[in-house]
Amino acid sequence: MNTRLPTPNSGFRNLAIPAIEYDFQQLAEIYNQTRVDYIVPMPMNAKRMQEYVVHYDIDLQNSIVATDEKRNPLGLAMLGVRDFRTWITRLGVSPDQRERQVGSFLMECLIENSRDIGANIVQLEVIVGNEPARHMFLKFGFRPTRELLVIRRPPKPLEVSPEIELTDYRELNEREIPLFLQQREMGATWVEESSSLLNGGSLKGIAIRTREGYGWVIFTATPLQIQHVVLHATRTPHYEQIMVALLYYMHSNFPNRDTKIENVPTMHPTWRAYQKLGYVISFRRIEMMLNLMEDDHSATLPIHPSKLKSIIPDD
Amino acid sequence: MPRVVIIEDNPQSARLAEKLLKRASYEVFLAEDGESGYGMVLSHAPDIVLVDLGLPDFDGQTIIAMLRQHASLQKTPIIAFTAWPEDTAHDMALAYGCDGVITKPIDTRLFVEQVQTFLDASLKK
Repeated sequence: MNTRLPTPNSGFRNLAIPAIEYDFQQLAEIYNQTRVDYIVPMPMNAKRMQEYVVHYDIDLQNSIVATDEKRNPLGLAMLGVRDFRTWITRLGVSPDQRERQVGSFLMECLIENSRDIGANIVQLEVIVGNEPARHMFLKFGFRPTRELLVIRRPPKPLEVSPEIELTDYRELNEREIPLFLQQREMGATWVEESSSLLNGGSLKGIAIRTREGYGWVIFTATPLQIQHVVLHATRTPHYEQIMVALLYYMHSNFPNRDTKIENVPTMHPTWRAYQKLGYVISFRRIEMMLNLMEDDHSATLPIHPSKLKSIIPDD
Repeated sequence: MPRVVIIEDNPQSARLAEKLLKRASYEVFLAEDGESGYGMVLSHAPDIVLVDLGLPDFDGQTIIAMLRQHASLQKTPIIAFTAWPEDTAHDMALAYGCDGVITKPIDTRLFVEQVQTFLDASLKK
């Protein structure tokens, strides 16, 4: 059990309670309380919180609820763990507890937990415009890597047609989908990584072949929504046309669905294809990373992790 | 008496909107999530719907998309009720077929007038 209390000279008397001590309803309530005044609040209920934990490999033992000495929740930060990487997410502090270093306290705990479990890289995303959070991440040694778009398309008739002729079209079966995902290009963000998609399930896939090249699209389709779209096409001068054709057939086969796609890199050529299909920008994020193998970034922390005293609870 | 459904998970915003509209003789129905809000709109046939874009189950855009697919709601004004940055909120509202945006925090002096303006515009269609 890794309940921690910073040393008194840190000036704070916050407790770090492992999130596993709370149920999903409690975690959703704490999270929502931290976001009531956010630019994009994205509140959750218990069901969505549980799905989030499962889909994104959130380690609740190493995720933290910051509380005061009476265990009143002040803030929350969750840690996803995959291989030698961790992902900080759902970080937030209740509005009445801001500017009291609770966010920094949560960050220190999660970076220390990342070191403890042997991670090399800590990654996160911050919504463009959330300057207090961005500055805090920079202070902890995180560096921006790229800008990402969260885009959406409401259910509406298709206004474009594929500009290329198909020589083959088929739907992928359940066994093929994981194999195709292994071929995708590197660089997906945490929520769009193949692990996230396979954890979430409900995956569909379409593969097409044209004289100009081939391509496939894999996505999550529920009765109301399409999400987690992975596009792959041969790199030819017709790359964008193949992408447009793939999106066209995806929307034709799964019509009347709201479509939400997270974390498309701004400069990525797929964005032009999405625009042709009528997608609009919902909001923007900045991806940031901290390389724990480079320097001793802990030297930049306001409180050195070694000064965080571990307390083993009575039970 | 005009009927309004407000789909809003933030109790402070919801109650303030309800109070202001009731004082102006509107009949108000509150829903705190997308699922109950969707059912409420279908069962109460309101004259206008206000939808928060960030809801805890289905988000606002999904609810708006679902409502817009009902023939009976084609002429009902659906207004995005949001704290999102105004340019983003307008882009989203336009893309999802909303009839307008009311931004939060609520301007208590203007709120009822904003709702009535959207109602009046829908009656002229």
